[in-house]
Amino acid sequence: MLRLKRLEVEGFGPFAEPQVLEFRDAAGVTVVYGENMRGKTSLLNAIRYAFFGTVLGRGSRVRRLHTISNRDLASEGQFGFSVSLTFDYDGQEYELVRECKPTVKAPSNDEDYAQTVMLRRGTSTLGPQERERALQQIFPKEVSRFFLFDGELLQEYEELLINESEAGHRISEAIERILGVPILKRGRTHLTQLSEEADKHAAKEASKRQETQAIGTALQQATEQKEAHQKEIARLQTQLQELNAQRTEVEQYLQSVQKYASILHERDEAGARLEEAAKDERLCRGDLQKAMGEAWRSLLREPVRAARSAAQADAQKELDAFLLSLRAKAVADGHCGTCDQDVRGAILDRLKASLPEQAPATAPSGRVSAAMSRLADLNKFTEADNTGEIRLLWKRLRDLELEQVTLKDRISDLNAALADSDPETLRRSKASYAEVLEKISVVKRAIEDEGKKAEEKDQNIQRLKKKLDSSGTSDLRATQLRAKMLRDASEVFGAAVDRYKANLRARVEETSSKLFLSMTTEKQDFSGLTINENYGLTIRHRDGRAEEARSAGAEHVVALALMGALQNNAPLRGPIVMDSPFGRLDESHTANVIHTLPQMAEQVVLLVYEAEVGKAKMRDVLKDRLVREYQLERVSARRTNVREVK
Amino acid sequence: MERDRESVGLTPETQAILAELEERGWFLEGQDVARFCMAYAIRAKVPEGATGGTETRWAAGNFDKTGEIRALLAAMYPGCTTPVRMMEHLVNEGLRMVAGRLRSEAIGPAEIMD
Repeated sequence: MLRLKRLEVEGFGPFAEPQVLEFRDAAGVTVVYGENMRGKTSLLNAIRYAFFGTVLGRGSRVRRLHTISNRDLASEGQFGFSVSLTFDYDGQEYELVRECKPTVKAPSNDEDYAQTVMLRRGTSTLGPQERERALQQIFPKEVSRFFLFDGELLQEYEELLINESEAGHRISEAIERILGVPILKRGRTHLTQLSEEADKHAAKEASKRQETQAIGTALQQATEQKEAHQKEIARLQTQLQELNAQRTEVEQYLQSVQKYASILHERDEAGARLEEAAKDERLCRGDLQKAMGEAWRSLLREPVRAARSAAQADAQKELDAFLLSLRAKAVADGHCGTCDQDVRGAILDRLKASLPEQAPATAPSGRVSAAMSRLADLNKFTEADNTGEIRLLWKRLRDLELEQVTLKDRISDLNAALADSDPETLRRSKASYAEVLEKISVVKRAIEDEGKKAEEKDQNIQRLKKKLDSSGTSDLRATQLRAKMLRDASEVFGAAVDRYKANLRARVEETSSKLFLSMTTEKQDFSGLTINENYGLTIRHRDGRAEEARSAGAEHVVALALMGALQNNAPLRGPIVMDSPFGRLDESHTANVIHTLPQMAEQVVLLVYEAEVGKAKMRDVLKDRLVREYQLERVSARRTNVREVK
Repeated sequence: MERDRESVGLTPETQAILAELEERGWFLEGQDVARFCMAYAIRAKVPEGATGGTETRWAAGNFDKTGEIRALLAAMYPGCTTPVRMMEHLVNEGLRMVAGRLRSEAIGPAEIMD
């Protein structure tokens, strides 16, 4: 059994300085609380990285190691990270240290890093081959999904209900792997090989004897031909397996980059719009500057108008005074200097009457008046009002500036989302996908053909064997009997595999039903779970019928029940590390799941944010099965510290 | 009779203000800022005066190519016998006034003209 003892991370994700989690040597649940972005998933990934050297992102996509370094340290030029994991396995203590260090000063991709691994068992450090063998035995990568998982991975178990699904097939294989089925399958294969060897030996012996030589030789040839076809089938199957793996990898990649493709498209569009907005801004600013060059005229428009009115009024007054002085002079002189005529009689009387009592004493000056001069100066001013234009241009400029800020923010977000993308690989993957599909179809056809040929040969072999049995001597019969016994043993093993799998399925069904009923809030309506050939589970109603429509939350509970059942029935036992597994569950289901966790595995590490489950509730539900609590504390947006909650 | 200046100058303080206003990108060049601020000061009825301690920035002939400003000042400040000095005073005063307003209010070029 595998039990975690201590985890230390440094420079990994948000953990800049060395951070340590110690796991108590007691059955129960260790809870790590942390808000979003604090590093819960990074802790799960740190364990994954220690064992397998890989880190998973969204969609179970492998993340580039270059993106794992703490961003704060990276901004200071310090790249790289390390994870140290201490654990017990079958009564011995192990320490596994995996480091990723840059090989250049400013790394920009995964090729700029080198990884080192150290595995210590007790006091001795294991060599590379022994280390890999030990790690494969302690924690095989193929079954890691049952130990380290998040809500997203749990959703994949719905694939088990779809018989034809490729993902379902993969998961189903992984389930058989954790349950130990391959060991029996290998036993059957070995016995089949031995029986075939014995058949060959019997044919060889027969060919040596005169009376059975012809049949023996024919049998030997037919067996060799069948073997050749089987070898070819095996080779093709290996090739098919590799091609399927390639297809899955490319499919997963293309699925993940499908998202990238749309992000990339959106980023390019935003980039083009940003350029356009910047150009518009430059043009608009130019127009504004041009308008502002004339704005002083707008500012002076009203003051000049007022000054003009005042000057006009003054000029009018001066003109009136001048005319008055001319009339007064004409009255005094009895002669008008303007028209050069004498003024007498009625005209003189009228002029006198038009003069005020105090007639101006000043004589007409004949100079240009100051007011007229002011008016002339003011009239030189070219009047303009471009306030409205400036207002519009200013508003447009502000809108364009705001648009650019928004676009820059959006582009920055999109660039962050694209941080893990690799356009070159995307292009290559698209090209190779069609090629892989074509190869798969060719190999499948070849397997089918070879299978038919091998079957024909086998029918021939069976005919020849019957002939040989009837004409064989006593010492040949012993060889034939040995071959028959091995064939029978192989069949017995084959039947045993089927029986074992049936028993396992029954046990998984029973345990998962128990766990499901412990976790569901609908205990009065459901009687348990029913397992299918692929280990897919359906909810069974008390009326015996399957519940066809299952909610997302119900799927989640079923998946958790399967996880627990596999842990309980597998020869390989270890800790369960769950990252935020309650996202789709309501409060009652969440409480039930927490209550059930200690039944799922002896050691459970739960990574949650407090909005999912608060500390008080966690303590209340788990009681003494809550063995330790940690809090992920924010230092800055890029730094987190781990603190034990006392 | 006091001799008029031949150029418009700025004090170190208004020189800094001019740079601050140019930084906003509302104007194409410093002369445009200065003319705007001068007009702002005239509109605000800044009385006749003179600013000392200035350093030459623009030749008066360039600052007022059409002679409109000098004619305007002669009309608005009839007692003034040194229009370029007056122009300089108004530019310096206007720069201070506009900068003061922009520092205290978050407004744009259209609002400051209201």
